[in-house]
Amino acid sequence: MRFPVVVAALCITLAGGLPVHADGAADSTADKVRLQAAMQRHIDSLTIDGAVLHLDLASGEGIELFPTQAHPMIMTMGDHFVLCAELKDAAGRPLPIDLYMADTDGRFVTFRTEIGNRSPLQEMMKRGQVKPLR
Amino acid sequence: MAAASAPETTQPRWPRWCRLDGSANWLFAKLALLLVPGFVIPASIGLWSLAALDMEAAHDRLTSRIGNAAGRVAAATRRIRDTGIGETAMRDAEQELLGTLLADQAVRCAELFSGRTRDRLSLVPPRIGCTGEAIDVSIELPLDGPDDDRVVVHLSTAEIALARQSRRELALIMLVGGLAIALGACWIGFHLIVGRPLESLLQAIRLSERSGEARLAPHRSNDEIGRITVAFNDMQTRMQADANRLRQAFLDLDRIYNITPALLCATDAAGVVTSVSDHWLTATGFARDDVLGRPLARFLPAAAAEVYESRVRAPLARGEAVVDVPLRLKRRDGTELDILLSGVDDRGPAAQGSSRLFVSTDISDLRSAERRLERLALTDPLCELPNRRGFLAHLHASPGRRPVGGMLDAVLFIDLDNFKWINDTYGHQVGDKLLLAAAGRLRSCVRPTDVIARLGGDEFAIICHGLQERATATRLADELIGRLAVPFDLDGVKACVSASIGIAFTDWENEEPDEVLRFADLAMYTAKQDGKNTHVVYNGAIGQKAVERARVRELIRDGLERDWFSLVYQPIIDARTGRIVGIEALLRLACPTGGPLGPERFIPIAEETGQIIELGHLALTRGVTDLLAVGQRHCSAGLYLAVNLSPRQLDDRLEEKLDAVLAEQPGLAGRLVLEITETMLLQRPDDVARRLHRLRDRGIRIALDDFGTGYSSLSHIQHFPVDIIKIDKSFIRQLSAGASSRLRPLAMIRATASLGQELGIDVVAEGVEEAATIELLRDCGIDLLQGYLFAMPMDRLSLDKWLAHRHAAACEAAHDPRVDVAADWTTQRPVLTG
Repeated sequence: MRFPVVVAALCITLAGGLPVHADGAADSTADKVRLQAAMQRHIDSLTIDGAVLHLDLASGEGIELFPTQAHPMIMTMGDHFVLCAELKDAAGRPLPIDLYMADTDGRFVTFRTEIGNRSPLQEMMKRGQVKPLR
Repeated sequence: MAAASAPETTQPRWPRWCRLDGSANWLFAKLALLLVPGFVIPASIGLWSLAALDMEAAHDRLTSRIGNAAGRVAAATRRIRDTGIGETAMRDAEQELLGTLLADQAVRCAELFSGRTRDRLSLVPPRIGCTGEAIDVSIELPLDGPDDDRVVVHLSTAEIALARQSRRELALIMLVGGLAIALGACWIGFHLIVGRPLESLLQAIRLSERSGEARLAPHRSNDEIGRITVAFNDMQTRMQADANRLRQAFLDLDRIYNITPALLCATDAAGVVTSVSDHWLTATGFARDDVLGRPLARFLPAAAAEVYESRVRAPLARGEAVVDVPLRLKRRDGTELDILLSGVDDRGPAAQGSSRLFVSTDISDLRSAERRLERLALTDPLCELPNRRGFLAHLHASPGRRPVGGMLDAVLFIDLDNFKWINDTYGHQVGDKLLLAAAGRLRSCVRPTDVIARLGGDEFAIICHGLQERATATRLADELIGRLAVPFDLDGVKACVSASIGIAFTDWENEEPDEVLRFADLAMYTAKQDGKNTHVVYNGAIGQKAVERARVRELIRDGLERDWFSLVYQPIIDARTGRIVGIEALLRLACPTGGPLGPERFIPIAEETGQIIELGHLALTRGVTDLLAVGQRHCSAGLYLAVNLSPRQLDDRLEEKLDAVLAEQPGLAGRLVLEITETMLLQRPDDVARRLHRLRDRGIRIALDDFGTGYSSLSHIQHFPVDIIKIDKSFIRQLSAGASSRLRPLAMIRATASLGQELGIDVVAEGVEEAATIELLRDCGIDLLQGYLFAMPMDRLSLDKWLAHRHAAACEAAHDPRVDVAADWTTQRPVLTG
């Protein structure tokens, strides 16, 4: 291939491949805020005296878990959403909490909550059924 | 005026560290053109992707922070409502809760609305709310109560835009900086890896180009450039080796070219000398600078230059080789040398145009020797005059100088008379001196333009050019005869010779040079026959005689081969008894086509040509045979046979022949008579006398024929063994004249007869034709008679019959002396035959 042709091809590729700002991200801001708020209100609804009671099926004991940090990333799963947060027990050991939400008439309702069980989410991520919300 | 030079191209001045060559910079530019997009595109994509992820994370963090805060505020507000506190306190608590949202700088303002009345229940910041603030997103959050109140949060995403801007700037800085670093690193790498080795390679190539010698480039790496350098150095090394071999080969060739013992030179197509060998320069004496660049023809004499143009340059221009063209070459000192020039036209593919290579061989010495040999071949070494070849060469050159205006050339053919006698008598040294002296006298008589030659022996020739009249040549001939007639004093020996000169004139219109000389020779021969010491001018009759002589010579030859010769016999009668005592054999030639030829015509020519020897042998052999046959049949055992002997026959071969004949017939010697003439006695008298004595010792008798007509001298009879004298018939015929006229012949006959009687020599009278003369002759004392009166010459058969008729009675009365000869022969003349 002649050199000018190679150079021209590279330049065209450069021009076409320059990063373009995507303003569409702003549209999802409200939804993300509302989803985060919905997750926070749901966790809040689960708390008793500031702690979320969780039944450890292995030991058969109830454990108090304290909300510490919400994960900023929101994932979609078809028409549904998955949000994650972090709980800690009294000893400070972190324990994830995954919330599966659905949009019901403009209101986000949590239809499943997984505490300390991330394997369903990981399985779906492996299968590509879950991806970040843009 | 010199043409304007081409404008110099201005090259950009590069720093030395980066200056390689325009082409090398272009090479890097090309690399950069590939490098920039190749770097920018993936870097841009990567940075954009990172920025996008970062902005996404920032967006997520913003929404998470606001959402969590708003959700907790909404939950707290709900719980406050559930506490049942008063309206005002609840509003204040709600106001404070909403105010906590303002702790996040992204939140511009927040409002609480009643679900039933749609009135705003609270507003933060109080009283001003979102006035003057840029609101990007407003989020409405229900409080999940029966009154369906809701919180509305107004927020700005400026921090995301700000973050995006900063990310862009950072990406641009990273891109530009990365690109600059990449380009710089690439340039340094290019310079170190490619540029510097290439520069070294280029420098080596340029030095090699300028010096013509191999230059090696420094070798620093084993990469592709290094391998190129190694390959270049290997090529240079091989080329250096090849160049060394070529240089050595050239030196060897140049040495061979210069030491080759031949004159070598080369010219271009225009004939301008391009190279010469040392040998060429040595031979000519020129310096090389005197020759190179000059036309080769300039070093040739004018005549040779013409030959060079026509026989050398023209064939070479046609592509033909030239071999051994004789030329002359000028030396620097003005002398010339002879050369043989060979040349080829070199049109080889490597030649810049056509060139001619010449090889010359110096043949000056050879030419000199050749000229000496030619001079020797054309010159008589004794007299230093042109010899026959040289004279003929002059004659051949004469037509080129053909005179005009009716002028003639004359050729004088000079033969010294009696030279042989002097040579034989005094020896060759005297003979040579005589020739030298004669040549000198000839020289003194001719003009400088005339050419004298010694043709051989005592023969000289002169060619006189441009004569106005024939008399000039005849006067010259007379002068020559006169000068040569003056006796020569040859160191005490006085030699007298004369000259016979033949003259032939020519205007070269019809005669060839050889023919003119032959004409002069014939004329000289005629002068000899005319008695010598004279000159004869050639004319047609002389030529005809020569032709006739040639014809007779041919007839003699053919006659000998084809047996055209025969013998006739004439009887010799005893004057007293009338008996036949002998017969003389006479040779005859009868050509079947040309008729008979008399002996007077062919004998002289046979003597000239030497054929007489063979004829003599023929006559002797055949005569003896016939004599024996005749004698047996007719009781003629006493007849003798007389055979004529030519002077040229008198040699050893004759004696051998006679010995052979006598060996077969021992008793024949006394019946053989050899007749000689007085002329024979004049030539080589001592030798002749010795030979005649030897013949006589064998019993053979000698007869002196034609006595009285030649150089008759009594001393001949005294010194030579003569048995018979034959008086010439001219004397006998005079007896038929009147009485007064026959006194003198009678006296001479009588004296001869008396002399014979005194010396015991028989005397024969020839030519007896009348009976009246018989008595006269008998009275004079003549013993024997011969003539037509008795018998004409007759062949053997006729002789046989004649003898049978005449001697039948004689055999019966062999000793009867009384015979009337006159009466007998008068009445019985024999029938002539043959």
